[in-house]
Amino acid sequence: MANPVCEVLLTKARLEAPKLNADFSAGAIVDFWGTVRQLEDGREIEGIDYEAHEVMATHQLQSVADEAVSKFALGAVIIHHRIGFVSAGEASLFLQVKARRRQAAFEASEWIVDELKRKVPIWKRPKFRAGERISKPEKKPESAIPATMK
Amino acid sequence: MKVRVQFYSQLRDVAGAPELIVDLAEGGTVTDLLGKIYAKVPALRSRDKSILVGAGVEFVDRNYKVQPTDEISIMPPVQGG
Repeated sequence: MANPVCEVLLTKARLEAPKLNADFSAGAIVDFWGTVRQLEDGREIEGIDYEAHEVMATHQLQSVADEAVSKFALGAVIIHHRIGFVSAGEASLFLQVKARRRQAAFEASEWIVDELKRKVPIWKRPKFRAGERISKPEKKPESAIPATMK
Repeated sequence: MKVRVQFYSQLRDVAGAPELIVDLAEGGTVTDLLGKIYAKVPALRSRDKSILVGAGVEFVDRNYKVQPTDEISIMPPVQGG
């Protein structure tokens, strides 16, 4: 596909799906929404505070999107990630992938979310119903360090 | 050289401040810098294995030579999505 589109955004605003402008020429379009669950570690939460290293996160999101376009021959990648407080039930992540074939679109979507969780400096703090706010436990160190740093 | 170091998420809480200015010899590496930081904030040392380091907008490894103009970010494992 000519002129692939890569769009990344960190925003405090509620996420909405971008209009498709009736462009279904790609062949396969996958939308993925990541939403804040009602429970965190078995406890009810009001929502999650997302903190980002904004400049670095935007750069890393763009790198992930660019690499995905190249790796999966995509026509478009849109990644929108919310920061600030996100209530339970609301979306924290929107991803749209366009490709010629569904296999590439699905595989690229999963790859992008995996890479995002590995490389993009965003952190979350659940706000529990009782008002207690604790940091989410860190992942095990080995799995958390990007391969480029090993 | 004076290096500006910023802490993120839980590490900012542990450090008790959003940033530090650290004196580092020319040619010093990230490992050298972390040693200086741990001397100032001993509570961070126990997080060493999980700490991610950024220079500008890129992740860097422990052998990276810190440049005088670098803004260094000290970060816990990422949790986006």
